[in-house]
Amino acid sequence: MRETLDPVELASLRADKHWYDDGLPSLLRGTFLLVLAFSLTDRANHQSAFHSILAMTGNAVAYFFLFIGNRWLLERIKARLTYPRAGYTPAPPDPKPADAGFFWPPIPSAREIEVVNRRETIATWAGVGWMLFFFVPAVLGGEEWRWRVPVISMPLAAILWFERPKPNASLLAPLVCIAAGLLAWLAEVSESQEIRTFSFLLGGFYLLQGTYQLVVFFRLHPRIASEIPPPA
Amino acid sequence: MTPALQALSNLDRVIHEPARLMIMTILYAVSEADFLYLQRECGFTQGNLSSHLAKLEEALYVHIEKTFKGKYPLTVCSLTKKGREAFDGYVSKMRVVSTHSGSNGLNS
Repeated sequence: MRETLDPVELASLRADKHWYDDGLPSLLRGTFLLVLAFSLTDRANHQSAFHSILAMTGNAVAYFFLFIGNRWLLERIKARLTYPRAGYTPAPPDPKPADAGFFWPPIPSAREIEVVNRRETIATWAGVGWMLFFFVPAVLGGEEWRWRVPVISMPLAAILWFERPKPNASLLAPLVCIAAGLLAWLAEVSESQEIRTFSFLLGGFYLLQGTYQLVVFFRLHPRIASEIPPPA
Repeated sequence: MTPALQALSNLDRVIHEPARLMIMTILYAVSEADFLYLQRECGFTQGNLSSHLAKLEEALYVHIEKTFKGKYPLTVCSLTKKGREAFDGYVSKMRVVSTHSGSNGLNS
């Protein structure tokens, strides 16, 4: 941790880190990546209507909670597990549509050295990156594009690096992302299953990382009796 | 009187106390925080934090609200507009002091 950091910026970064400390964001991301992996059905083996509906539902749930509803769900889980132990401060802010422009996120400028703007810019880019990762192959009909998973895993790893909670951030997630991309390609599974294998590997990593963080968090932060009594 | 000395004489005494400055800095950085979060970040006892928050609330710098997140009761603190302006003013005065002391070779 740099000692020369502006105290306001440091307090802001610590608040961001507080959001990720309990491992719940990783746990949730891992869970929904696994849901996504399982819902990407092997079309050759499962062509029944039941499997299609199950896959579509799984896809919809995974996309919803990966991109839109994750904060809503996290807030509810954290209210039970995290806030009574380590206190409450809101989640890092979502990017504002006004800052993001009509379609494209803002290019970071000198002004955005200010911590809030920088955080919002990074969050916007991270959101766009995740969306590109999942939707571009679908739109391009990526069956023919053999290299898509290892190629897309590189910018995705960069995004994971930029969106990492600071201070004391780990390089592990971006490295695992690249490794998962290469493994999915090297596994020589059918092309339609590459993205499924990649989601499974990355989701598994996040699930393990989140579980470990949550166990450590529970050890470090025993539940503290609330200062005001709940209503009768 | 030099501008730096003038700035020192006009410092906001409510904020200038180190414990309250710490609380104000955290609340300036986050939109809101609960009592437990502030206690952990500042390393204060419950009584100490309560008394400093009471002084900040009395000066109308901090708004304290008792609420619930799910079933968990929270005492949520946030800076008021007046508090934010006071903190900005305090920081700019301290910048004047540090700039002038730097130009006089007092930083070494």
